[in-house]
Amino acid sequence: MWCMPLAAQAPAPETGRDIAQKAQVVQFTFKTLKVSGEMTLARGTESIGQRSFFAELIEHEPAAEYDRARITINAPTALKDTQLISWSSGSGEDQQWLVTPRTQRVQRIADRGRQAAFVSSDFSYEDILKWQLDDYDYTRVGQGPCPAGTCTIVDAKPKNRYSSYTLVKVFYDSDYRISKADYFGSRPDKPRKTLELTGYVRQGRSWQPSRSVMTNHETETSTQIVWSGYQIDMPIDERIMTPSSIGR
Amino acid sequence: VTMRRVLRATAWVPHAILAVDAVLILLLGLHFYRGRPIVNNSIDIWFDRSDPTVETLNHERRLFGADTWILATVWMRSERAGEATAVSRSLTEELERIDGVSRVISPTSIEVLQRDGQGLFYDELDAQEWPALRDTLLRHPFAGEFLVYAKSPDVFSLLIKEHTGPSTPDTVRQRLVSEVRRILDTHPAVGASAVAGTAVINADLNRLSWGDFLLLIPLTVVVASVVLLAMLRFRWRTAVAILTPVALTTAALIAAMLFSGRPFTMVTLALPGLCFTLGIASSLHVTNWIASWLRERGGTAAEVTRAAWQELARPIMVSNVTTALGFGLLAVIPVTPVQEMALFGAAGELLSGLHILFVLPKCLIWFGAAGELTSNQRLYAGERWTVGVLGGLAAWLTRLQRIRGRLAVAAIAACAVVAWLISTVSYDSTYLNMIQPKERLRVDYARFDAAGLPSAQLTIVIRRSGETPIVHAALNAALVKATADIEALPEVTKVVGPAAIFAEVAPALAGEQPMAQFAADDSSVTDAYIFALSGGNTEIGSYVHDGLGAYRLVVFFPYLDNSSLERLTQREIPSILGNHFSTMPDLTAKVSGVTVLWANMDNTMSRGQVTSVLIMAVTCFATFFLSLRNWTLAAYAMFANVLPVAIVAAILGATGRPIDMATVFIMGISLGIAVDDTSFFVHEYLARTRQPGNALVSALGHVGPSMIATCVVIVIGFSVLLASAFTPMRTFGGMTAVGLVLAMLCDLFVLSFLLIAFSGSTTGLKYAEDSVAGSDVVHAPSGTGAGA
Repeated sequence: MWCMPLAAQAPAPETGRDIAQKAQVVQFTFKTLKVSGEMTLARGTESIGQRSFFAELIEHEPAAEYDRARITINAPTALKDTQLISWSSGSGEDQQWLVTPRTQRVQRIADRGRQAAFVSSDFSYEDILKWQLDDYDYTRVGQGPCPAGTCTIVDAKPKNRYSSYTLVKVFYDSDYRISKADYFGSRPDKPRKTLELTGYVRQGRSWQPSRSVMTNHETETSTQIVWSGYQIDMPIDERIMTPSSIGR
Repeated sequence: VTMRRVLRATAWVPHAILAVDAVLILLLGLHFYRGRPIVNNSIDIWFDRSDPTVETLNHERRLFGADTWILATVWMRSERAGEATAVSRSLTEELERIDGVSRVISPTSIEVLQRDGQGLFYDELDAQEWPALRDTLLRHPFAGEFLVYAKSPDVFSLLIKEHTGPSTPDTVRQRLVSEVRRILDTHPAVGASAVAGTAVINADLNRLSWGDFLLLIPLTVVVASVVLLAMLRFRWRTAVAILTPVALTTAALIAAMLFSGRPFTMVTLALPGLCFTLGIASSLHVTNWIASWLRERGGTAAEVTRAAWQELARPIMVSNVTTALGFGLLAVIPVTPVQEMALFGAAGELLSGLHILFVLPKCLIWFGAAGELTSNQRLYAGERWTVGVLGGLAAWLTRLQRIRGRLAVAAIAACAVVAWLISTVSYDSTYLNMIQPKERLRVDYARFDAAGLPSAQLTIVIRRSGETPIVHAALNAALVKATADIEALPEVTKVVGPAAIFAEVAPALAGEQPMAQFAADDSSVTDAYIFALSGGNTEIGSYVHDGLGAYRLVVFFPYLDNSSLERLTQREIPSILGNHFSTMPDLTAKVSGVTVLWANMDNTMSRGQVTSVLIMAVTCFATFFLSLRNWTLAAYAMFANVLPVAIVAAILGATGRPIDMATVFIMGISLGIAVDDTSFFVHEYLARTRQPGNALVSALGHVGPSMIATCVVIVIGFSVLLASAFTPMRTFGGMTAVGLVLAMLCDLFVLSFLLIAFSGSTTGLKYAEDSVAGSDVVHAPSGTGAGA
């Protein structure tokens, strides 16, 4: 969800990495971010589940330090207060924990579990993690049509050996905002999933989408997140994102 | 008089009928051109819509999704058994590439909860040698005895999730299934493979139905047409004149079915052929009447047409309405294909009546058949010989009157035997039995069966009515115990559901906490499910609903016939569910699934058939009484019609062949068709008793050839169904043919004997004779005057 950066003005031509880097800088130009999400799981046009959650992000300047995020599920009632805590850094040492709501058990999700579905949605843990620039190798492949019109396409190859993707084809619009991303698995000819981000709005110095839709082409399901209530640079207590501080 | 006036005013009717036919045929062409569905024999359409399990199934699909599963099992070549890990991986990859396949759960792709130095994770097991991988999976709550089997080390299964539904085009589903089979069959390390599941059954049923569509309808048309031509001594103009309205009726019926969005099913595939042959049979009566009329009176085309309309309207109406009732009354069975067969069959009969009454006489004139019909030759081939034989039969029956008392005793004894045999008839629509043993589906199921591996499934849906965002420890304990109890049933191989999920997650979460203590705590139990739900178990959505308010247990078992399945679903499993869940408030536990609905269909059909046959019998008796105005004669006629139907049922009982979704039609249709000839024969006999000479000889000489000719055409029409790919259709065709031959023999032997042996003492017979003689012709006089 925060994996896709966006950018302001940029001189052309840049390399794929340049584009990704500039886009990321602009998207994450904040110290903290709070936002609510309404997640709808669908099969075709039929809604098969609803989730609502609250997300909090803390950005750290030094690349070696972890950027932190916490997602707290508000609905359905059964999942209420389930938390996912994610730490990600440029060094590629990402960590995630799931905090169960009733017993406050903190369970570390191992790297190998990053391909698993997050709360049964079409987003995997890997998709939830913040996109770190150094986790991918980039190749600019040209221009192509996208929901925003014509986009610059950059191929990003994950370096993490536990990634379930072999390639992410990212479509940047003229303002370096992500319009679309195709996630490829074992089949090079057909993406496994597609993410579309629309309705960008300015939040402080960054652009944030108001709607994200991840479509799983294999299962023919999709998950839409409608974002609202963005708050930028509001204070967040880091301890809530520190597993060791969450009591059992 | 009123009818004659009406008929006079209906000179435009044939043209209107032809115009409607033309429109319908145009629509049919459009339907074919657009590639709209022609055949749909999916298992889903066979449910009894009044069965409460339908609602449960719909609810289940809303809660847990409509994905269906194909269970594929692979037997490794013994010399390459050690390569099973690589084979599983390669098959999984290939199968997941098929369009329509969402996911393949195999020994190498199943995501198992694991722990490493970092923490917990759901992932495939690391590449291991097959024995080690298999051992690990045998201990896994989900995979053990489901993907790998303790007793079969060289065997593993793959659960292929696909999303073809009832609305998926046939071709898509068939392509998917054939691709799955191709991939499994062509792998060099695979010795044998078998696939099972709703999609497989649907694909094969539709493939076979399509084959039937291509074979049965053209074959019936060709065979019936050739027989007609031969029977009419190659009077081709007459044959074409008969075939034209019959073909138009058939085409209009097909168009009406397809255009109303009712593609052919396994049983309705028989309708066009039956409509065609029954139409020819009815046409023979009318043609015979017109031939007699032309020979005796001559006249213009307009006169013969008008005369046919005036004289034959009632008999044709009686004939077609009774046959239509034979079809239509089965509409009381609330199973869509049965109702389609019943209602379209009835509609086809009525449509056929209109064509025969209004269009056939015109066609005979238009095609210049009058010359052929007025020739000196008898209408039917072999008619002279037939009349001679029937004369001999009449004489023999007359002699038998001397021992009528003894014959009556023997008949009563025979009837008792028949009644006893009927009582042994069972209802069983086990879908596998519909298909021939050489078919791949049967071969696969036999392979599953021989290995004692699961090939069928049903589901249990457990729901709480209140919104309680917690899984109580008591509920979880009940789920676990019920799962264990069901799994312990001898018919059941494996139960997959919340218990397996809990069994996998709970030890990982409990850590050092004793499991009994963990499982007794509501919060811990709830968190175990939430961890699975949030933490990456991709399968939990199939078994535990988001809100933790609904659970699904999927019960896998080797293939069972319907009666065993009924025992399992109506007694054994409900008893276990009652033991564990009945005391829990606001909770329901219901058995669901396509297999269950299919098994329940038998009860619906047995009830529906009894009702429809009883109504049909009462209607036939009323028809006989109204047309004969004599209780005793009506009872004789009724006996002669019920007897062949009873003998057919007795044959089914004696041979142990159950009544199923196709054979359920035998009795009603046989009765509906047979009534016509009986009524026709009795009236002819009564008319002849007023004339000098032997009335029976005369009546048989007159109506016998027509009875035999129509019987031959209809029997041949039904016999074509013996070429069907489906056993029930072959039984239906064969036994209906037998029933109709028996009906004709009962008319010739039993009814003839009853008429001459007992009618003398029948009070009111004279009234009946007077009544018949004094009224309009109820049934068309037939024959060519022979024996008169």
